[in-house]
Amino acid sequence: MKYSKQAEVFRQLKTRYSGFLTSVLWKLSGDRELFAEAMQYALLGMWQNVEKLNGKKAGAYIYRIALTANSKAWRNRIGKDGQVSRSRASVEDDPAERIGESELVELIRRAISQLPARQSRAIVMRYLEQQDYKDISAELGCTEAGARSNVSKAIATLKKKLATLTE
Amino acid sequence: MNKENIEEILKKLGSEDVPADVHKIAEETARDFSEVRTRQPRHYVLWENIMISKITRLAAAAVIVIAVVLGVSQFFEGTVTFADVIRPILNAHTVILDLMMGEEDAPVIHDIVVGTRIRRIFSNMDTILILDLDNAKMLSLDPKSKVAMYIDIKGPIGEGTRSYIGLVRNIVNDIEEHPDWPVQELGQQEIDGQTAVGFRVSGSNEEITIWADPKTASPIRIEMLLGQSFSKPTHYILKNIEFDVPVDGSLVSMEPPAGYKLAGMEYSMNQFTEEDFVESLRIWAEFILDGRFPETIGVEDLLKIAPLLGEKLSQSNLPEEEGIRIGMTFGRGMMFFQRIVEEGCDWHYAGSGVKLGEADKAVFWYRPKDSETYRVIYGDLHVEDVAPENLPE
Repeated sequence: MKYSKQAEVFRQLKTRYSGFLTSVLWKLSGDRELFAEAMQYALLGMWQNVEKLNGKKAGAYIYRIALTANSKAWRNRIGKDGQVSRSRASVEDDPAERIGESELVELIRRAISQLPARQSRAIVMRYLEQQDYKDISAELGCTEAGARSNVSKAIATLKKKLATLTE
Repeated sequence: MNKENIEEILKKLGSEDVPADVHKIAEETARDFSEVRTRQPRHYVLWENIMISKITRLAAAAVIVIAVVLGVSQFFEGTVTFADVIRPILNAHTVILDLMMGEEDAPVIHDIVVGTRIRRIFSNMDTILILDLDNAKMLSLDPKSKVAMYIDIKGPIGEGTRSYIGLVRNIVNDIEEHPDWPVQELGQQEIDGQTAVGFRVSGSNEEITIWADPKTASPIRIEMLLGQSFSKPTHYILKNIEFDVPVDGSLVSMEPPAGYKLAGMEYSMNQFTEEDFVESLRIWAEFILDGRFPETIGVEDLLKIAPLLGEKLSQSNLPEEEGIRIGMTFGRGMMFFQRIVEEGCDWHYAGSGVKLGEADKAVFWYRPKDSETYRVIYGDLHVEDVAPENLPE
């Protein structure tokens, strides 16, 4: 793709997806600095994949870009802050009983950033975008039962990860 | 914590509105990104920093700690690990290697690297170069004429003339900064006639594949694909690699060998201008392509045409000094072009099919840093300032 064309397509994509990216990345980050960083990664991902985002599978790619951007930003954060969860949550069995809700929300956000791609996408679509299983199955290219299974697996993985993070 | 708690929190997250100031942050981030990215095309050149994103270096630096502790060991098990194969790359004092740019059958650059000194020879040229990167000086040796020549490479050319193993080291360092870049194990295969174990890592703008001896973990072949986000990434192949082998110091000496005559003057490559670039286009068309401008211009093209230029100059019966002047001018012109690329100036080459002298056809245009207008070079090599809206189609 010629450079001028790439720039033009990028501008159109930015207009089309900036609302989606802002909403999803904010809900996944919950922190302004983290959000700005994830947004930069997402824009870079869009810029590098303008051709794919202009094609038939654009929906799948924008999710992948958003979730990858979120994961990268979170990984940087973990590196920057050190062992976030361990320092903030010296817990035994049930973290909800020992740490405040805001910390728990942060742990959940962080755990989502570490989920396998399909599971994190299922979680985002189901809970953060409040889509029904019919739409999720269409996006994931599976049956409604398959979509339910993905969401369920994601919740189970989250639970395990939270247990690990708070050990 | 049970499943319902998690679902409850997730539902709450989903119903939250995005605060107004976050929308503002998003807008500002997008605007800043557009200004940098869409107005300044960045093309991978040898000496460009690999990490192209604006994303904070501080954060990346912090991730190094995680990479060292976790990033490597979590990906590999077994006797030979990625950490093992990159160790000699990072630590070796002497490295000998062959490099091809583009295809396997491309001209071979043979490097002997000793610290910051490099002895470089080419499969398609007789010239021997000794590079002293610390002092930004190059000694050129012509075995046929026995003429030695010092060339000052201070400035951008000196910074750009790094060893290829240095380029690999930069990529490996970049990988260590990005533990989120998945490392693919390629298993064992026969590579260049011997059994090797392979690893591949893809980053935002580069992909590196390292094949190593499974017994010693010493890399035997490295392939790099740089500039993946652009239409024509550059493919580098390093093979016949040897680490920390004894090297005779005289091979990288900056003193001309016995029997060589030192050229009367020292040539400088530390200044280059638009005039040099225009002249290099003329030289390219006039001496190499019989009056036509090249199809493309780039690093790979330069390596192929350099010996052709030498051949054409020697056939032209020009005085030796004039031949050297033309060669130097061509080199300076190409450095000017690389500077345009390196600075992220918007540029376009349109010389394919254009003949030298065609005054109405634009060959190349670029927007100098901080300029409102473009400099357009036409087929007869006159140059005009042109507003963006009046650029050729």
